[in-house]
Amino acid sequence: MIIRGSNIISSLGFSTEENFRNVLAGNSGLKYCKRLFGLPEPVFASIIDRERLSDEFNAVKGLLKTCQGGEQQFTCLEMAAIVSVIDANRDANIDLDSEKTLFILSTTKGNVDLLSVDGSQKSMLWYSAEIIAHSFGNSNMPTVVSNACVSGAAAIITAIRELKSGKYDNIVVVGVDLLSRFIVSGFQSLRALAGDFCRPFDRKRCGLNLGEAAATVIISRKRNDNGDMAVNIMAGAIRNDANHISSPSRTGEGCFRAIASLYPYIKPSDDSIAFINAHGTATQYNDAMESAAIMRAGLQDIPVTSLKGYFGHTLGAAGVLESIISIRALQEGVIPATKGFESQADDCPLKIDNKTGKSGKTRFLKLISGFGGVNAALVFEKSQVSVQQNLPSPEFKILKSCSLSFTDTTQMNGYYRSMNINYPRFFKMDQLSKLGFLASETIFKDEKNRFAEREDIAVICFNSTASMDADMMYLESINPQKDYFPSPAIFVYTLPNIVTGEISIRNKFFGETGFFVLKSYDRDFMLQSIKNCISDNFTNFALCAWIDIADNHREIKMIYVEKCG
Amino acid sequence: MWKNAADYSINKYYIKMDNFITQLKQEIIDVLNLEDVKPEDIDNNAPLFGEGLGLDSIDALEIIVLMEKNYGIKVKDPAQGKELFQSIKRLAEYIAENRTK
Repeated sequence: MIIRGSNIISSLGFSTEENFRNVLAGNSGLKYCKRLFGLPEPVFASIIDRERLSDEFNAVKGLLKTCQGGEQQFTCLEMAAIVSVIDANRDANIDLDSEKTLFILSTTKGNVDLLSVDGSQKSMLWYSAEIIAHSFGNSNMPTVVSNACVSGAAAIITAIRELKSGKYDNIVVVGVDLLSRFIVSGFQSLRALAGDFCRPFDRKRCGLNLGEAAATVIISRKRNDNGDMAVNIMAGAIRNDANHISSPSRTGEGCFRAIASLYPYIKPSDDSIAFINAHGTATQYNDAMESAAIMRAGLQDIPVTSLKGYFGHTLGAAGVLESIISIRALQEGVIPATKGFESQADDCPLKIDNKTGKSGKTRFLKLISGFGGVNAALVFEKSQVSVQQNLPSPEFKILKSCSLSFTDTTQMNGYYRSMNINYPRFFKMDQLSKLGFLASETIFKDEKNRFAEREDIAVICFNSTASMDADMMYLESINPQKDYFPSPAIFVYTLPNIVTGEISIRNKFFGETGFFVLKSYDRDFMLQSIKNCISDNFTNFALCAWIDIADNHREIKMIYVEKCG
Repeated sequence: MWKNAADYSINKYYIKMDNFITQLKQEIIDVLNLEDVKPEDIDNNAPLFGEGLGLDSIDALEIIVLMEKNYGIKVKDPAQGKELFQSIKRLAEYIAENRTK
């Protein structure tokens, strides 16, 4: 599968080239922000220039299908995504309105800032995805991947699987997250932010910086004629730590397993990997975790880079943005410098450099990890030929199913007690996780060898409202009209994929985990997603659920399936 | 006479402290959603983290929020929290000495 076009909009520019040149020049978009969103503590963050965004958007607005005649309002998030797609398609030149083109939006929190002023659907992730896809006249229902910080990489993996299945010719993957009072206060409450510019993999690293970005890759089965961006995505994998919902595994469990499942493409003996672009957030635990995973995988002699010193952690855009910069580096034969790195840390004994390096090798490995214990790895290769892989989707049979419905939390707690399980964590969970937990317990309660470690089971959940229930609770804790005490425990659950992490922790499932947001229950899409995730060579089973939460209604439909043939 | 008065006052301190420890336990149970735990289940001298209550790093941050919200105590460095969490008694004493509300 080939990358036909790309774009990055960030504090460092509005095109891939502008961003890439700034990285090579050693420029950082991070700045000291004294009272960002009126928050009491200062932060270091990278922010998109709103004035330039507005100008760039107005310049292309006339091209949009939804702006013909009517006065449609767009949020900054939607404008950034739209401008990004238009620029990416200047190289790719695909039919954005074709039924053979699918839009995939990767975001953690979308327009969450509208949640406070506007209870309507405008803050919903599927709504933003629809605004973006419809503005190009695309009528396929867009998909939203909301898989915490690995969303961007997970969206690229979803794209290559959809292309392999043959239904689409082109996929537009847009990763976007803007900062808000909601997001920044949450990371502050978790004490994850650095009080200075971040220092990935450094001895004195002290936390991460947040950043804003929109980044797009257009991925196709066929290369375009000019062939400028001749980079293939070879393979990708997602694995879970099954350890903790917010702390990375000390042993790099899920990250190592994701890398290990890509061994056919990254064997150290092949000597084909130019560099590893790590997540490298500059928190103590993340960087130590990635180092442990890279060493376990035997890849410690390959140069490792982090781009966080230029852009900060751009959340749902990170997997896309960092892949694009790394693709450009691969094409140019350079290894980007890790800005902010000065001295080797004992727990990160890797090959890291704060100066730009050179390499003529043909591949790079992208790593990324996120809350919910989820980790992803991707391998990219530059070549003159596009690797066409047409694979019929595997079939599956349903082994078990479970459907539960409750009116409120008290009923859910009652059901938990009736199951006679001793798992006090249950009472800490948000409603999404409680529902996922109860349904998976119902399915697995009589399973033989319960709690034996499993890597061959994927856990995939879907809904239409993402984590709205936890979002509203968290919003209450940062209400400007009240005392300001953001709750770290609630903030973690404002990532909808935490439910997949909770199920993985409970059952010791180290397999793939994922979360998709759809406008409405869509059986065909969900069946295709199950086929997609069992197309991973190591995945033979999948646990999938649609989870619905409305005012007086909490419902989950879960199935447990096995790959056939 | 003096000795007795001092004894009386020390005694009063302990009763007050005991009540405060019970109150603090209840606050922690509520904020951490320790649904089936009662104040008397928590040993005054046992570590809050590790075995026993099964608390984790997010719980530690929630207790730090509780200290600020209910008692006006700011813990800048979560590492300092670790020392305070060696027992509920130690935490209660620290709060009693440093509270601003």
